[in-house]
This record gives sequence, structure tokens and C-alpha cells, in this order.
Amino acid sequence: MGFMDRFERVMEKALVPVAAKLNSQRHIVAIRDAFILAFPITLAGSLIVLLNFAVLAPDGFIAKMLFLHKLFPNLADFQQVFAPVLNGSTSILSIFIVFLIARNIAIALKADDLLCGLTALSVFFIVYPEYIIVDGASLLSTQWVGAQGLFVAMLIGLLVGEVFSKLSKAKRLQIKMPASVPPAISRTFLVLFPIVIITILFSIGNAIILAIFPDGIHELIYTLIQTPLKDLGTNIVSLVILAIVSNLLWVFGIHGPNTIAAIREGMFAEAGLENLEFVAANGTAWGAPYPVTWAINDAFANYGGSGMTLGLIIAIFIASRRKDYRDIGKLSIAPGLFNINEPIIFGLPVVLNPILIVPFILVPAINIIIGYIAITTELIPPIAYSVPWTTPGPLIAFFGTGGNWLALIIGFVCLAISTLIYLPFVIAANKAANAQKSVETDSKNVSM
Amino acid sequence: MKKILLVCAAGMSTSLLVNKMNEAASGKGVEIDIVALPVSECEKAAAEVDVVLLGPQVRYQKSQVDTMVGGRVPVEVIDMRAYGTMNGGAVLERALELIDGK
Repeated sequence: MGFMDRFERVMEKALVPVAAKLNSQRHIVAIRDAFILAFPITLAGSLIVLLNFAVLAPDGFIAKMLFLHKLFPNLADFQQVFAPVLNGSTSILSIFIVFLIARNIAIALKADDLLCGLTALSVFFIVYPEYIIVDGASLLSTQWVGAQGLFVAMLIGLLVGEVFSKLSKAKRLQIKMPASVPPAISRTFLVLFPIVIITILFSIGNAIILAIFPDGIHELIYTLIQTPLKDLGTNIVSLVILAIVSNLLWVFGIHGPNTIAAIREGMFAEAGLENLEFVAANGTAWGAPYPVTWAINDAFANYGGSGMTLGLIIAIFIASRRKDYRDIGKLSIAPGLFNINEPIIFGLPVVLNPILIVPFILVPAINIIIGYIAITTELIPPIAYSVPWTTPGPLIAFFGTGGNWLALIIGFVCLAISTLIYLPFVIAANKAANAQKSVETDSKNVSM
Repeated sequence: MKKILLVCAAGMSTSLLVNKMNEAASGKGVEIDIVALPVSECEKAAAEVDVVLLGPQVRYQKSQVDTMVGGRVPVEVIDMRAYGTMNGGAVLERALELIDGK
């Protein structure tokens, strides 16, 4: 116990300030919250892809199950009705992100958030590749408004957010209107000069970059930053390390997935979106360009929430005779089915429990590797359909692969494996708790 | 009417606790109004409540919330066990103590 206590104290001292920094650093928070806010819209896009290829395609798995293709012979015609939803969600994600990040920065710095977001949107298109003239019509390429433009969107969002907020505080740049002028008008005059200055500055910057790199800033950032980062992300080692870090944070009672969200999105967002676009274009998850994405974690290693605690709950029902464990298990099962596990993490607790933290970190790492092997040996297709993380466990694997039955079975195998690994640790934790209780009643020394 | 703000990560698990606290309050005949919000969205609400409680999973954000509240009302991290067992009664009790103690 002495060693564990000291270990806890050292980790608490080292980790909590780092987590606090990460979660209050305004640039990281701005990026994280931008993705959180854009999530419902990207989700709409993914649901439509699922609907179009699972329900409305004649060979879709739900269509086949319900014999929809026999009932409605022209079923596939309806796909065209819904397909444009994707054009308005993931395909233009960078536009949402650039606006939201700049807005979040302005909120943090107490500047005019709406006009700051709009200015960033303006700048995004100032540095955007020029119109292409075809048959007298000017066309704008969609290449950089979706997943591929994410990094430029993040950079511009952060830069404009900062510069706008600073400039709008400079008294000499403010135009004060008399009190009789309506507030909506005086508000725009207040930041008129900063906005003009920013748009001009970025157009000059863009011209300089174009003179040196004729392909433009998007191509430059994409090859220089986004692609290396994506390559760094879309491999099994990074995936396992990121999962371990996320779960390790939980062990110290810190919300892991939230803390690493900005890093995770930077590494995996583009790959995930390109998989989705692939599915939308080809109607199948087989052959999706990025077999290894964060989706593997959700599909095989996040049942019950971080640490795959659905396995822990089942292990408690099998092996624990302690009333407190079984009570927490009962309380945790309903939220656990939807991958929410604060009750079990804090109630049991898993936090700072020297025995349970071992499987809590080990189980997800093993299950990620199982999912990875199943995908890379082409037993199952990549998890290319995006499914909300609150979907009950194995169903994420099933829907994520576009209805692959083997993926569903592998999901249940992963659940069984997690239960088996948790079992001996639950038994050991119970023994330790019983022993500790008798010591406590002896000495009446009840401490936290 | 006592107003309580719960600060959490995304509002998923905290909403469970809110229900339990409301149950406990109606059992005791206390009138309360509880809002659960993530830290990024709680600034406005923090200015209108009588006490601010943080979920243990966001306890590292306490300094941020402290600055936001500026000492106007008490700010405290919810006891880990009470949170985990969704013990609405205990959390409510503590919240009322904090309100009275100021």
C-alpha cells in the first residue's frame, strides 16, 4: 500500500496539472469544442450513408432482411433523394470548423464571437484556390472544403480568432457610434477596421505564399502537416498508444477521451471522413482507404465506455459476492449499454484502484489489436460507416462494417474476452476489499 | 427556489444524477432547479446559481470554474463515491449545506 500511495500521489501531482492545462489551453479547447459542435451535422451525413446503403440499396443488409427490395422494386431510386445530405455535412466540414474555432477563440478572449467566426470564414475563401473557368462558368473546387481542408481550417480559425480578438480590443481601431444608433449597427462599426485589416493581411500573405508555392496554401499545408499527421495516426501503434493514454487518464479520474480529443481529431478525422466518402461513392466498406482509424476503438474496445467496462460489469455479476459491487453493477448496466460508465468508474471505484486499473488499460489494447487483425486479414471490412459512440457495443462493429455478421460475432468475442480478463481481477479486488474492511473495523481508521 | 449548477464533461452521466437529485428534493419537499452543463457552456449559468458542483471527472477544471464564479457562490467537486453511486440525496444534502454555509 505504501508504494501505491506514493505512486498515486506522484501521478496525481504530475497528471492533474497537465490535464488541467490541456483542457484549459484555449487553442486546444477551441479545436475540441468545434468538433463537438459540428458532430450532429457530421452524424446526419453518416446516418444518411447508412440509410442509403443498408436500407435503400437492393443488396443492403437491412433491405435484404426485410425483403424491402421485393416490396419496392424501385427502392434504389430513393437514394438520390437523400444523397445530397452528405454534400451539406462532412463534405463541407472545413467550413464549419473554421467558423467554429474562430468563434470559440473569440468567446474565450471576450471579443465579438459571431463576427470573428464570419471573418475566419471570409479568410478561408480568400486563401482558397482560385475559381476554375469552364465554358464561361466559374467553378470552385470542392477538394478543400471537406476533410482535406481541415488543417488549413484549423490554422485559419486559430489565427483569425487570435488576431481579430486582439485588434478588436485596440481602442484606436474602434469606431464608436452615438448611443442613438441601433446596437446591431454600432456592433459592426466597432470591429469594422479589424475585419478590413485582417482580410487585407491574409490576401497579402496568400499572394506571398502563391509566389513561393504556386500550388497554394492548401496543397502546402496538406503535404507538409496534414498528411504526415494522418500517416502517424492511421497505424496500429498510434492507435493502441492513444487508447492507453486515454484510459490511463480515466484511472486518475480524468475524462480521457475529452482530454485527448483535439489530438485524436487531428490524427484521425480526415481518414474517418474519407472512409465515409468512399462508402458513399462505392456502397461498401470493403476497400475503404484507411483500414486503421479510431473507429476500431469504438467498434471493439469501448463497450460500456472507456476500459471496456461492460466486461467488468458482466464479470462482477459472475464472480462477485460483495453487495456493494453487485449494486454498482446493477446501477451501471443501463448507462453501460450506451457506453457511459462514470457510475462504475467512480462508484466501484476503478479510479486509483491498484488491481482494477490493470485490466482497465489492458483490455481495450488487446481488443483493438483483435479488431485490427480481423480487418487487416480481411476477415471483415474496415469500420468505414461512422456510428455514434453511444450505440450499444457490438452493434457499432455490425453497422460500422455495413452489416457484416462476422464483425458482429467478433464484437461478441471481444466482449467475452474482456469479461474473461476482468474476472480474476474482480475476484482479487473483492479479496483485497474484504481484507481491507476487516483491517478498518479493527483499527477504526477510515481514511480516503 | 435554490439553483444548482452541475459542471460535467458532456452531460451524459450528470443528467442521471440530476434526476436522482430531483427525486431526493421532491421527497424532502425542497424546491430546487438544477442545470447540468459542460464547462465551456456554463459561464452564463454560473452567474445565476446559488452553488456550483463539479463532476469528479472534470475536477481539474475547478480553477477555471473558480475564476468564472469569482468567489460569488461556493464551488466544490462532488465526492467521487457519491457521484459514482448516483447518490442524489447525498449530493443534494451537500449542495444545500454549501448554500447555507455561505
